[in-house]
Amino acid sequence: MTATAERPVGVDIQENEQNRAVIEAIEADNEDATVRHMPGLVRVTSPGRLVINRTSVEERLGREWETHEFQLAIISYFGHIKEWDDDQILIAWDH
Amino acid sequence: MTLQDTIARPEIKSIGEYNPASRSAQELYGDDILMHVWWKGNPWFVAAATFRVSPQMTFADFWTGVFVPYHEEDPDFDAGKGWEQFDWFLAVNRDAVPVGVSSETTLADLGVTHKAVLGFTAA
Amino acid sequence: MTIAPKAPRKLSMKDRYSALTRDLDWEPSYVSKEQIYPLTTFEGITIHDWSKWEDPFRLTVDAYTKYQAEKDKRLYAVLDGFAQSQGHLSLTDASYLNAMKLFIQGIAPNEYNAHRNFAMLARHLEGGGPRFAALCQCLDEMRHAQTEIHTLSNYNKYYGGFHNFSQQHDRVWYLSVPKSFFEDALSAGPFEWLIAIGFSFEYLLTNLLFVPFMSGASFNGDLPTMTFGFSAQSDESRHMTLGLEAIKFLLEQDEKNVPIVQYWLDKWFWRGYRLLALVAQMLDYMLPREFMSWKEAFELYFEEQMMKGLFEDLAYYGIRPPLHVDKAIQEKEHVSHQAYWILYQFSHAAAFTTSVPTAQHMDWLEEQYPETFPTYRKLWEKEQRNIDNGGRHFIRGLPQLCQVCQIPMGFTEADDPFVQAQRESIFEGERYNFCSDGCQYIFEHEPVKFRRAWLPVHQIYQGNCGGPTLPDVLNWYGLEPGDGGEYLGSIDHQNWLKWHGDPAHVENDHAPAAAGAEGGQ
Ligand SMILES: [Fe+2]
Ligand SMILES: [Fe+2]
Ligand SMILES: [Zn+2]
Repeated sequence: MTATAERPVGVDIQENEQNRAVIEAIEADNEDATVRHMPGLVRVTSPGRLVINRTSVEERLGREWETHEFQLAIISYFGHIKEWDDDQILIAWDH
Repeated sequence: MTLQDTIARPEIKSIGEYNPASRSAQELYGDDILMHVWWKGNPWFVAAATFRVSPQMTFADFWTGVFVPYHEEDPDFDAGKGWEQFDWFLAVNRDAVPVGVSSETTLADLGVTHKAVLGFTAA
Repeated sequence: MTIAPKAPRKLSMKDRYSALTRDLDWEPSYVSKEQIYPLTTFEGITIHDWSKWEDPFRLTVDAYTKYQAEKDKRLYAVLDGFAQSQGHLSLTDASYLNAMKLFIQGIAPNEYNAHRNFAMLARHLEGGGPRFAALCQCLDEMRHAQTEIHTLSNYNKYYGGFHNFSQQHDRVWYLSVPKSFFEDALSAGPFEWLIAIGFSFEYLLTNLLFVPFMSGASFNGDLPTMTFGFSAQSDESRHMTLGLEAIKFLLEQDEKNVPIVQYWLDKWFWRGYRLLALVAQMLDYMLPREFMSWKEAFELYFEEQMMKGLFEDLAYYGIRPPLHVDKAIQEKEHVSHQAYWILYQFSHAAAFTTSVPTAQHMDWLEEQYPETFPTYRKLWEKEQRNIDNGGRHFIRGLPQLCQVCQIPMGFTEADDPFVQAQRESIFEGERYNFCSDGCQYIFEHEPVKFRRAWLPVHQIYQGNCGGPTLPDVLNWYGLEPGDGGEYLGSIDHQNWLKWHGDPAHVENDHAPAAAGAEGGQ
């Protein structure tokens, strides 16, 4: 058994101009994140939890961004979506 | 004993009466049966082959009319060496039940029933 | 029911979700709940409190339509650009499209089936939250069917194998594999469907289907497919969430649900895994520019994410990894080679073409599978000798099929990996054959359902598929010359050479390829 805090979670994001800010925001807000490029997509994994903050994305995008917009970027994920509200999306395992 | 044998299996339920018949029952083939012919250990043939045959067919007729035309597709198979080049058996899960073949024995004599697997390997 | 007061300008996501979704649910007054929801008890699942079902996406109908419209807009812009610029000519090779032929024949009709069943769930689940999530998924799946067909219709103008996918889905032997898989799920109750499709397929396995398919498309110049794939897959993350919420909800509601869910998981893992044999061979053999082996995809998307991630989470509820998962792991070195060998030998009866892998492609396979590919390579070398002697091989008979997965029985034993497996069970006096312990296990639990299986080979021998001869059957399949057979020398291949001004085409003009003539019938 690996502790919940260490088992990696992750998200696959379509690689395009619009999503660059999102990927950069994830990298900035998740210290231990690992990024892997595959044809057409970027795969970000992180031990235990992965967070996407609205304000971090907006800073890089230079415009308003609502978390619902993440639905246009995401291809797949693993882990559990623990929280998805106006300010933050959090992916983590439960147990 | 594996995990598969020990775990409880929940009962499968349906909304109403559900007891459909088999879509592959022997009766659907008249007096014929389906049989599978399997060259064990020869991957040239992607799977055993299925034939519709009469169980009264003799082994000699099976060999010339069914077996050879199909298996001579393997360029390494030499029909001229006859059926003695193989050991014949009925495959039942992982068991091989040997059968003695001769020209006049029928498939039924060999125990080839509907959807049975007649296997063979190089003797 | 009360009419909600006019909403203030900006409600939080949470409030908007509960106002627009949960608040639209109500307690019935003049009919009983049992009358309204007649399908939620017969499977033996116990639910105490439907309001405990969470939808973390907090999706409301306004947000749903806004973002779905945007996804479609982006996709259709790509499709137009590709069609206008004759984008099909910049694919790596026409043979790449064999993967897409399999996709439109095998997957698109099942997107439509998924939409049907989620419509049923949107009507029959008892909670307002899950009903709305099912409604969104129903619309998504319809969108997937439509965008996939629309995207691939552009190739139908120039290439074989696309023109009759719907009829072929219902009739052709290898398509009975995905068809019977989905119909097994469609004919189950709503909770089994949720575990079968919502959880096992969408959460556990769909990454293995879509992500490699779409990255493969991207790598081979197929921008439209990559775009529809990623567009569909962005809905998929919602579907995965529905599946994961469903299993957690069932496990949390009542302990008695645990063994039922475990059986469904055992069953649907194995059913789904067997279906993915078609994807495995696509990844390893059908992409002219290779990008990731099945083995690597399986390790990444299944072993890493699911075995090391998800199943540790589910252990908390008393759920163990599916039975026979060890067999799937052992098979990762073999399954693609066995599946493609089957398709190669039977592609005269298919709506796609195959060919012996090139020497360079075999070198790549050997790098990916140093332990096992050398043995499979010997088969290809034997076939190459056949071809050199003038005879590309197609099997002249019909294969033994597994009663459950319906794939020709070409899979091997775990402890004897080059010997095909044979399993059988007798039920009410009749014998049934299986490719594996996994399929046998499922049959033994549900023999009545699976004895009803429509096995293409058995049906051909009953005379139910157009007639007794191969041409009769192929005609009944709706195949046309150029749909199947050998790729080299096929109509697609010849056109490809012509459009690219390849000098090899001139030779082909003078000597109509023998293999194509035989294969294209
Ligand atoms: Fe879909
Ligand atoms: Fe889906
Ligand atoms: Zn099977």
